[in-house]
Amino acid sequence: MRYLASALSVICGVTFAFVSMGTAQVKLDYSIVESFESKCNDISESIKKAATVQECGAVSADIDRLEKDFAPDTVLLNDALYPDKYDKWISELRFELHLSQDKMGIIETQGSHIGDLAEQVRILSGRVDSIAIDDKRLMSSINVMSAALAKVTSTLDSLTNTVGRLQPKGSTRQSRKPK
Amino acid sequence: MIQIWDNYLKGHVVVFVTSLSSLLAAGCSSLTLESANFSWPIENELKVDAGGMIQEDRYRISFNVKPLLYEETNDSVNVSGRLIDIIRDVQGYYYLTGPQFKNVYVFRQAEGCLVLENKIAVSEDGLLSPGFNQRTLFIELVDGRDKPIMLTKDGGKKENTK
Repeated sequence: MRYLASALSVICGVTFAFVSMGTAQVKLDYSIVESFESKCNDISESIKKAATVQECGAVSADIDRLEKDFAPDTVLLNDALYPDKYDKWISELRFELHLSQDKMGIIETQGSHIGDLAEQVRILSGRVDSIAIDDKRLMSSINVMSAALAKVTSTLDSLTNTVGRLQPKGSTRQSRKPK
Repeated sequence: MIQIWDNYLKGHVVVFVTSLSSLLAAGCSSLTLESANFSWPIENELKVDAGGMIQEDRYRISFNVKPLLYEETNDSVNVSGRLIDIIRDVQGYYYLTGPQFKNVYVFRQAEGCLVLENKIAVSEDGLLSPGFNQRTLFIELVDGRDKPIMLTKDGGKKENTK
């Protein structure tokens, strides 16, 4: 019974394979070329949009896949693509990616510099804030001390006046001396 | 006097006949450049404009397809936007068809025009979305899931079982 079932499944499989082969759609050369062009354009767009080194790496893998997928059609593509040939299309994509990666490297280096500078600015800003607080405190102290000084000066003046008033004049004292 | 004139005339006739023979000989000598390959690697699907013209950009060829559309559909008015599939074989013959066409038309190039060489019936109900593939000895007509048909300019038609 088990053998019968497996034999039946094999027969069904073979029949299905034959039917599939019979109805398999023959590819149009035109559609292969069109598909290649379309994928190249997509990859070119991805290169333009790539913003990180990781994204560039993904695009590089896409180019490898494209090359692998269309390897059986290189003769057709070389004949059909105009004015540039298949190899030129692929090398153009790699060149675009290379340029993009170079730009990305520069941007990332500059980004790192910008990060360092931002950190320095943050530290200096903290110091400026701290200095501003100290300055405020000092100003406040100066104000207090100025007020105290003014008070002391006023008191001193007042005392000087009082002392001046209380001090007997020279002539008056002499006349009071007993003879 | 008459003798002199007669001799003079004969001399001119001889010169004229000699020149004419040389010219004819030059015209008849055939200079043939062989191993020519006119094939397009892939077909082109072209849209018919309001005037009935199609234009192929890569090979810079353009012509009016109104008579063709009239032949196929009996309508040469509503032609704008219709699609025509075109390919050229190794020998330089043009194969034309399109969606809803029942035939493939083979044309040869002549002075300022294309002349019908053959009309090959390929579908009783009309093609759905046809396309041509360039093959070494024939042109392959593909239409969806139907088996491809091998075509030659003489009208040879055979299902490609490969």
